[in-house]
Amino acid sequence: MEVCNLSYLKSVSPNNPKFMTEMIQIFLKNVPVAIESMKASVPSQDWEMLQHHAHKLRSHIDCVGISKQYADMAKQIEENSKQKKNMVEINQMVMQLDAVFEKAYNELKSELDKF
Amino acid sequence: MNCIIVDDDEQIRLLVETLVKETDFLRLVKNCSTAIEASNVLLKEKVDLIFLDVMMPGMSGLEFLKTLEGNKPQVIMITANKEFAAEAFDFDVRDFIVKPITHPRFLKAVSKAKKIYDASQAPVHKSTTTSDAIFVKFNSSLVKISAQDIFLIEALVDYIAIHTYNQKYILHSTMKEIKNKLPDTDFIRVHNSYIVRVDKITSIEGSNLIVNQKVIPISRSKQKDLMNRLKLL
Repeated sequence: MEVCNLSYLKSVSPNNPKFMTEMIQIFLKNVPVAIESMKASVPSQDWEMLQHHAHKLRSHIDCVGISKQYADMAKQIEENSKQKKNMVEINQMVMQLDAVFEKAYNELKSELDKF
Repeated sequence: MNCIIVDDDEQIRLLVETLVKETDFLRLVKNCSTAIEASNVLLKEKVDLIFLDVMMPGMSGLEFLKTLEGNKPQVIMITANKEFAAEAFDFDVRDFIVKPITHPRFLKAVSKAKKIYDASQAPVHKSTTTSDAIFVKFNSSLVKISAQDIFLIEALVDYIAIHTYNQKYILHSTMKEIKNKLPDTDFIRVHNSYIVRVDKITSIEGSNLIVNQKVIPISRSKQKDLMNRLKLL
C-alpha cells in the first residue's frame, strides 16, 4: 500500500479481521460521500458543512494511517471554515484530499478483497 | 463497570467498542450516536462510565455533560482537539483522550476510572437494620442503639451498663436478657460481668483483654471459647 498503513488498526485490536474489515467498510462507505459534499460546499460557501466533514476526515485519516500532512490539512480546513475564511486555500486542500482519498479508497478496496 | 459510548462518528464508536470488549472489567450497555440517545439510556440503565465525544452535531459532548446531575457516571472524553481539555476538566471528567486513541492510552484512562469505581464500591458502613439494633428505655424514652456501636456491656448488680463510643447507658436488666437480644456471632460473654463485641477487641494480654482502652478480665472458663472466636495466626 502506498498511502494507507493499517498498523494503527492492528495495534488497536491485533488478530481481529472482523474489526479490520468493518473499519475499512466504514471508510469506504463514508469518505467518498464526505469528499463530494465538501467539493460541493466550496462554491456554495457552506462553511458549516466544510467544518463538519473536515473534522470527521481527521479520524478517518488517523485510522487508516494516511500521512499526517493530510490530517493537518483537514485540521486547517476545519479551523478556517470555523472562522469562515481562506476559501481559496480550502478549495486547494479539498482537491489534495480528494486525490489522496481516491488512492486510499482503491488500496483499501483491494485490501478488503484479501480478507 | 457498565459503560456507554457516545459519538456521532461510526468508526470511533466501533473503535472504542472494540477496545471496551477487550477490557475484562468493562461491559458495554449501549453504543449511542447522539447525546439524546445517551440521555435516554441513562434514565433506564445503571451506567458507571461514559466515553464521550466532544464534537457532535445537535447536543455537543460538553452540553451533554451539563445535563448530567445527581449520581453522575464517570466520564472519559475523546476528541481530536486538545483545546477542549480545559473546559472539560471543569466538569470533573476522569480523563481526556486526544485522537487517535491508542490501546495503552485507553487502558490508562479506564484504569483511572476503575480505581475510583472500586473505591466507591467498597462497603463504607453496614447499614443498621432493626434486627441488629436494640431499643432501650433510657431517661424515660426509648433509645435505639446499633449493635455495631456497642463495644462492651458491664453487669452492675441489678443493672447493666451498655458502653458505646459516644455514651454509656445504664438500665435495669440482666446480662442474660441483653445477650439474647444481640447477634450471637458478634458478641461474647468473657466473664460473668462482661460481654464484649468481638471485633472491637484490640488486644489480649494474659487473662485480660483490651477494648476501647478498657482492661476487661476474662474468666478461665471462657478463655477457650474466646480464642476459638478469634482469627488466630
